[in-house]
Amino acid sequence: MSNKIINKFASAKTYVETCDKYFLFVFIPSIVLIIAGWYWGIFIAPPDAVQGDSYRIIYLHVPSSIYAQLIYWVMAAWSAIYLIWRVKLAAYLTKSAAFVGLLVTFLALFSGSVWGIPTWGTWWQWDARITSTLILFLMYLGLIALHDSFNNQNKADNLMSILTIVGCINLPIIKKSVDWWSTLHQPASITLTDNPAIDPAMLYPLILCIVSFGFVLISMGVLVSKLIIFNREKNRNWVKNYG
Amino acid sequence: MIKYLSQEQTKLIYKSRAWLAPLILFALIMIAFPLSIDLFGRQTSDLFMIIIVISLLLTNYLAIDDILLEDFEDGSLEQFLTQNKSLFSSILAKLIILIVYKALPLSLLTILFASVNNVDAFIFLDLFLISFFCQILFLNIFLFGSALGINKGGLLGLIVVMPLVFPVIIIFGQSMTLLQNNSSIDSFLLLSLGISFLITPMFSYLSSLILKMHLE
Repeated sequence: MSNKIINKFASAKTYVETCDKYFLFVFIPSIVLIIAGWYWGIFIAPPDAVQGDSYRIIYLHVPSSIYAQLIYWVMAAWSAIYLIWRVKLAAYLTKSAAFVGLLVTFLALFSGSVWGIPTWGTWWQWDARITSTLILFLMYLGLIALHDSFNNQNKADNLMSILTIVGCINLPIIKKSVDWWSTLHQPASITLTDNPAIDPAMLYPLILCIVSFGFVLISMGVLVSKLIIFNREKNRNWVKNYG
Repeated sequence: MIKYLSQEQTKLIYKSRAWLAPLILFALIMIAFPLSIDLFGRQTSDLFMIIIVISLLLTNYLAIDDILLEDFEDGSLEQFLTQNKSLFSSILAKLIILIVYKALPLSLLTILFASVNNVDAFIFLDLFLISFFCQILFLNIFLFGSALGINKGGLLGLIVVMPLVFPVIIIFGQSMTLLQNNSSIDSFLLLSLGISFLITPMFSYLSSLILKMHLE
């Protein structure tokens, strides 16, 4: 039964067909919502009492920081699926997520640096959270470099999956770095357990940005994964007949 | 296991240059760094503690750089697979020999250079243990990196495992600072001991798994 389900949903062809069917239903609303979220955050939300307007970069910085870590967990889950059930699609998705994760982590670092100039007076500090995010960026880079170093794609998938799972060791360190070390970076303002330490007028557009940014990234991941699938399965008949 | 250990030990005897190179590099860094700061050595006791983790990082990378490559190129690893011998035991033996013959002497050298650089004698034991556990982690991670990029040059292995090395540098660097400020690090040492015991068989297993993938 489980093998039947895996075979049905793990086929690259089914994945591409499903993505083609629903892509626009996800992509267009996510773009509209992210624009709405940014408009709300930048033009409607009140300025911060201490930081003035410079805090508005949170509407890019916070979503990108959240997804920089979340994407790695997703990659680890796909890697486990690939190593346990040998589902090729999971390996394709791991690699495509690595590209999206790299971009998002860069955005988190860049937006954090831009925010650092008015608030900390410096664009870079060897602070625990910033350094750990840089480590995450290097992890994504290393995973892509490792995969691209091998001509044998199956071997590359195996190695990338193992390294992804081992790299999970770093995620709790990145997450908890602001709590474990005294750092310049503030602790998380929004957590799952505590009440948010942010005014609702600023919080609601932030939540909208976080949710819609997630869907933008899913759309981006789908596009990248399709490119990877077409490249890897170019000799298959369904790819030759595609479109 | 004993057979694998003695094999690795014999190999090391015939490769004295490979065995001595990390120790010489470490000694060179330790001798050279005070010269670049202050000829009268006034600040060396403070800076010694800062430089130690990075020196250990470099020397351990050198110690492990081509450890698997030789066996891979001369077909020894392939023979292991065809003869159904345990690759895991062989890798674990390599690691244990590295720990005994390279990490242990380097930790002793650390104490020697600590005494030369006017570091307080009562922290010598803690310093020895920190540098020893730090090296066990470095060796494990570099072995894993070496297995990942075995036939693609040492640099690839280094690049892919660097993100795993950074937290070790940060945490052990912090512990050095604590030690320098006379804070107690006993619980940290116990934690490091536990992690070292866990990580050594785990990374040996992972490395043997990766080598099998390369060979198949």
